[in-house]
Amino acid sequence: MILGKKGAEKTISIYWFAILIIVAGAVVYMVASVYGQPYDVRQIESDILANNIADCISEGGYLKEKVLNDASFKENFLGRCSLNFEAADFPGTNGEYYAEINFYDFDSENKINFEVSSGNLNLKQFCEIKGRTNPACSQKSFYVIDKNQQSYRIDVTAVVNKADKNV
Amino acid sequence: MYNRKAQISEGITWIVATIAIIIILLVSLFFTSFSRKDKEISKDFFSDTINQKSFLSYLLTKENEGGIIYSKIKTDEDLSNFNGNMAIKIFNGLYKEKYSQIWIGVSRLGKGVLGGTSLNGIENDFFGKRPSSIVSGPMGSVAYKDSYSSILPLKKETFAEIIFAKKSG
Repeated sequence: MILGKKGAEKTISIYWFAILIIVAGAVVYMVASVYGQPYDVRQIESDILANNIADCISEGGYLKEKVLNDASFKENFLGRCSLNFEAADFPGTNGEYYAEINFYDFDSENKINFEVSSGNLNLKQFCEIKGRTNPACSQKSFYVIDKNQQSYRIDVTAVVNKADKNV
Repeated sequence: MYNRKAQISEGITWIVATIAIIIILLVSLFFTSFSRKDKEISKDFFSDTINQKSFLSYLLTKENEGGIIYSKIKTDEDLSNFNGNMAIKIFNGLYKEKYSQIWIGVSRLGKGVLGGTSLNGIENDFFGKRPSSIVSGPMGSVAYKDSYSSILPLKKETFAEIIFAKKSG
């Protein structure tokens, strides 16, 4: 009788141990599934970058002066727009960002020969390819006029790679 | 005999408890799997503020007669032939593929539901009726349309408004 009771207690101990392992395993799986995968914020980052570039070249509905056909803006685009494309967390890469601005005459739709770009040009090709691990790309257009009522369409392209820490 | 019955009863209790624990775990795992999807941040997390730049520039564009479009709309309280066609050229040309509907026109502040206020758009020849912010769903349900608008005051309780309704899915 005493031996039977001891056997039952042993069985219950094994059972409890098994339940403990199952519960602990499930908790570990749930925590890993929630926190194990990083948030992919690259699309938002590229959208913000495109918006900031748009803010840099137009203000109050007008195209800013000393932007279009200004060689100093083209040469010092990042500095003029207060952008920093250095990514300290990604050493050894050719750059994790790319930005490009194209100007078009709104009425004739002709491209104006004044293209501004900076960053890793190789990233631009991924704008046409969809894929979770590919760089995030934002292509935005807006209408703007200058102080002389000349109207333009401006296309802004912003690409963010940073796949290693977001995917 | 009584001892065996007690053992069976105790065993059943443990089986039920085990099943309850497993069900609770499976339910937790099921809901956790949804949180994984939530980690994908929507592309439309932020509204397209860049479109508002186009709207402001459009309103600042001069009409053939000399004044800016904003002044003309303010006077007429409607779109004219020039600025209506101009709006179609700009906004349909730039954003038609991205949005399911674009509406530009004049809206007046009026009475809304439950005694509140809401903007009532004036129908125009170029963009038609102002899209409703509420859409009907299945089984008589209603939902807010995934859209955003920009307004600029013209006169007291009158506004120039642009609405972008996002494509579903």
